[in-house]
Amino acid sequence: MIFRSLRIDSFAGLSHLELEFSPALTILSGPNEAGKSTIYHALVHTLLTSSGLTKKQFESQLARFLPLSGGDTLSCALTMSHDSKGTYTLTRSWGGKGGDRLVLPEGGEITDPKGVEETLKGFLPAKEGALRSIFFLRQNSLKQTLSELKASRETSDALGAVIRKSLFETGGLSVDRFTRLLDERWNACTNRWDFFRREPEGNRGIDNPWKSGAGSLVKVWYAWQELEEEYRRVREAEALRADLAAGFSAVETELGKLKGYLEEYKRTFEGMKKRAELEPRLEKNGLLKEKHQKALEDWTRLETEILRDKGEIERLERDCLRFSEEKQAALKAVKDREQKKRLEELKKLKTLWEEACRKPEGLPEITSEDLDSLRGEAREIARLEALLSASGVRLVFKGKDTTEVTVTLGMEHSKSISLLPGKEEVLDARGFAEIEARDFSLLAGPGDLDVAAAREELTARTARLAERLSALGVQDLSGAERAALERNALMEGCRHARAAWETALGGDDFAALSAAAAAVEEKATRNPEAVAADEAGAAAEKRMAAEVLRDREEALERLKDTYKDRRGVVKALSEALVEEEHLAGELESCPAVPGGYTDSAAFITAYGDNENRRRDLEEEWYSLRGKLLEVEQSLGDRSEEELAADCNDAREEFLREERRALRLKILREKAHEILRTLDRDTFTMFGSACAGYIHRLTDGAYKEVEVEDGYPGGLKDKRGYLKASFLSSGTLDVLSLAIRLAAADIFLRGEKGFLLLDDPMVDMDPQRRALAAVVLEDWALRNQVILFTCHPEHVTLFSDPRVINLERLV
Amino acid sequence: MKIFATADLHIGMTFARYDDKRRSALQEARLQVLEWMIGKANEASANLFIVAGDLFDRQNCSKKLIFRVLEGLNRFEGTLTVLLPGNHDYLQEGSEGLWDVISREGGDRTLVLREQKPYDLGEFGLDAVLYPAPCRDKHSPESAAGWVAMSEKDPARQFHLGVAHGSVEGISPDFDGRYYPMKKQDLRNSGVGLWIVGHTHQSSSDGFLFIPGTPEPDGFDCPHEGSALLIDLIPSAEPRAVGLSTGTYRFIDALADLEPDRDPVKSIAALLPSDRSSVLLRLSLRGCLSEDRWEDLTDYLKNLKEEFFYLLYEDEGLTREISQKQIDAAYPAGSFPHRLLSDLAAEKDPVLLNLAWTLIQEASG
Repeated sequence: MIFRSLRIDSFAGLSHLELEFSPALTILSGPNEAGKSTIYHALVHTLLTSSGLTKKQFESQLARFLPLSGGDTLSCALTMSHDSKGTYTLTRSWGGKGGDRLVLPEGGEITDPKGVEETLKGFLPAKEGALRSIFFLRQNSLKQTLSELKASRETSDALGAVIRKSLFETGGLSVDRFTRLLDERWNACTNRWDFFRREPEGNRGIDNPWKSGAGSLVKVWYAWQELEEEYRRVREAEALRADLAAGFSAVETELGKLKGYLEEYKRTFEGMKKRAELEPRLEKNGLLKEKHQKALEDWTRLETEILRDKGEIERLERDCLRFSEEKQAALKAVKDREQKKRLEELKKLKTLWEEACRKPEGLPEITSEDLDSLRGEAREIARLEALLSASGVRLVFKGKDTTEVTVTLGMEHSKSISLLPGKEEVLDARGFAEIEARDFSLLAGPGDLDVAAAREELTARTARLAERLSALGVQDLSGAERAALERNALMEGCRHARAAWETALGGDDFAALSAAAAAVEEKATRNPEAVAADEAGAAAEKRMAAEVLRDREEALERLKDTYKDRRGVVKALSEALVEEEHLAGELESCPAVPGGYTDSAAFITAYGDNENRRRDLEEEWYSLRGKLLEVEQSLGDRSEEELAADCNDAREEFLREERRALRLKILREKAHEILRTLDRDTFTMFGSACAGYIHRLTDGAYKEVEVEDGYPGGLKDKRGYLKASFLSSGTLDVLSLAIRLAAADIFLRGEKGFLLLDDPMVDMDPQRRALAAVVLEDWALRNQVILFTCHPEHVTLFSDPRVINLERLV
Repeated sequence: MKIFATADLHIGMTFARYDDKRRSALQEARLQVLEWMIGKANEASANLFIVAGDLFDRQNCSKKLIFRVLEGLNRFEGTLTVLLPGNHDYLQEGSEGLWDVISREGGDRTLVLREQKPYDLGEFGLDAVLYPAPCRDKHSPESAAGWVAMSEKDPARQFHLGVAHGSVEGISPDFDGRYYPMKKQDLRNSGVGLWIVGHTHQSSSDGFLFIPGTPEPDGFDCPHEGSALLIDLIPSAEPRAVGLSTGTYRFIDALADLEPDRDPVKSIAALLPSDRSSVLLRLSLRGCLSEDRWEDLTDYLKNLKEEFFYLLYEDEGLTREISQKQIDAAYPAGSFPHRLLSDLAAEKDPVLLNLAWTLIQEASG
């Protein structure tokens, strides 16, 4: 698109000015204040600023351009032509009488500001930001090209997009369109889908579904799950309905049977109820009848028994008296026999006493004094014998001839021994030794003892003792002691026998006792204890008979209290018999107790239980019926089988969609991977385009542009890399111009376009300026360049420009 | 005596998976086929019009629909219309259900076989006794026809006919045995002269066991054209049945294995019927086609959709032939489409390659 003309009706200090532009190079020349900037702004605003500004926007953007001559309206008209689309004339007014009007190539026009903007977008090479950054160059803003390019996201994105487009759009394919299409398909398919969990994002199932933004996969999943849920629900409802129906059927069957039973036995039940009322009455009357019958029998029996009891009691009283007398006699007889027996015992004791007294009569009477004397003598004898035996005496004989001797060795008896010649005879004695030989006698003993005197005294004492013992009639001392002991024992027995007799007599007179016993007359009697037992038995019997009599008399009294007299009993019995006959008749008219029941009560209980069961079943019947209706209503329009088929279809559809999503996923990842690789090369092309211009603008001094982060960041010459910030002002202008030209080429993509430049060469040296003029003029062969300058000498650098001298025009 | 036997009309089936127009047409077709069969029964002077279960698809059909069915049945000019509750329209307990309405409103020439007992048709002037096996639930592991063998048969009656609904061993698939399963031998030993059995949608008859099938197919698992049986009972002779083609719509499930060097249109056309306006077609396409063939097929399928009552085609398994040579010819080497398509071609994933190719074409369009 290029500009054909600009008409300024009123804009700042300009009015009624019409400019026509060359399709190639137009130079608007004039000194400062000649109106170049006003024209520049008028053109840019006419192209890019809609009339629909807010007051604030107008104040900030256009108020400063209000006509100096007065008025509140700015107005310009811009005519543009597009190779393929034709010529458009855009008239804009801002301020008091604002409005847009775009006259279309075919003659139609658009006045709606939005419509105007939309139509303009159709043939402008870039969006507003990129147009301002690349295609409109303000005075002194050449150096800011690089920073503006980096700062303007819209421009850089648009540039990137345009470069990619030129790179990628091969074979008629737009990669952007492709990725957009792929993204659209991807989003349309997988939005809100969680691939890992194979369900909608956020665990949002059909109970809380995504209502907007859900992709087709989520939708088919919901559709499937809703069907599955419905299928499950219907299956459960069907199963529940089947259970309920089975239960209902069982209840209905039982209820039917029960109703039949109750109906069949209804009359029987009524009869049984009457029977149940009559039967206890009959039973009670029967008891009453029995009672009266018994009373009548008892009355007679009691009267008879009372008479008999009284006779019996009298007889027992007589027995008691007779047994009492017999008992007294028996007791006396026993006493007599005991007295007699005692007397016999006393006699025996008396005999024993007398015999005991006779026993010591032949025994020596040795007193204790006698014994003490005898013992003293014996002790003296023993002392003498001990004295005579106290020391040892050894006699040693050695005979020369045979000699017969009598030897007494101590207290031993003498003995005879023969002393043989040549033979030594040794005799040992205790106390002394006495030898009587034919030729001598020898008494040998201790020197301090008068053995002879001692022996003599011993002999005397021994004789005296023997004499005394003999006088006492005993052999020796021990015999004396034994005799004394024996006599003492017999005397003691005598004393004991006497004491026993005296004790048994107990102070009685033995003679009197003997006389009394002789006077007793022997009589035969029974044992008093047996008689006493008979007496006690008769008394007990009498007591019992009395008690029985009393009971019977009381029983008779009770009957009298009840019936007054015997006739009363008969009357009551008669009445009971009449009632019995009546009740039996009533019962006869009742139905019989059905088989299987013991009585009417058992039947009534069973019938009542069945009645209760019927009520329970009816309640259950209604309850189940209600539930059945509820379940049946919930079954829905689709049968289980139809839902199963639908579920299967929905599942298949989901699986197909899921497979499609997975393919899109793979394709998207692969496409993005390739695009990432291609993106890295995007600005390489831009750098190359810039380098081409730099080469020409610097006459080969710089051949390469270094691309940093996708943007030209400096120049490279034979010395190396120079960052933009280290370039001279003129070289920076050259680089900036190269960037603009390269970027414009990229944006225009072969279509004819424009470039508005406000004094681009002002900081360049003459050589660079001349080179720039050549490059610009060359660019203008393919596009339109509108150049503003206040340097007339710059005009001369171009070979065939259309020059508009503003000094003369304005 | 002549019997017009049918079953499994499934009136009230929703066909919810189809759009309104098709759904409505498929629903209506079930009512129309009933009317058509009544007309045929009248033409044949049938004495009995027997529906061996599943006249309705479900219990809770609207009264309006029930009355419309009764209106159709009442057009039967023979002696008696006999209806057996099937497993879809089973006898309901505890509430006034479908069969209560039909029994009450069906008139004295409509007999609902509600009980497992002999129905002597003598009172209707027919020398026959019916032995029904009505369904009382959706499912049952037990045949409802077991009682018939134990039932005394009145020798004075000429014809003894069993009417049942459920699966028959060796004929109908019932893997879980929950559709009142019956054994042929048990039916033969039941003491009746023939059995008319519903539930199996495919018709068959062997002179004793008569399965009328569904008169109006209802899904792709039911690929026939719909059927009913006109049974002629002749004393002391085996019953004879004539099969009738009844349905309006047909469900066809076709699979076309396409090859690159064969015309896909011809291959597909060979699978399809000539009369297509009442056909629901599920066409599965597999194989690989050249670009030219692919375009031919695309055009063909566009037109085909208009020809069929309903067309669903699955082409997930169908790919176009895209060679590296084609890719090289279409896009400059190193360009994005060239790199993408070449990578996919190298990975030997024709479905993915086709998807990429299609998207690139679309983006280029």
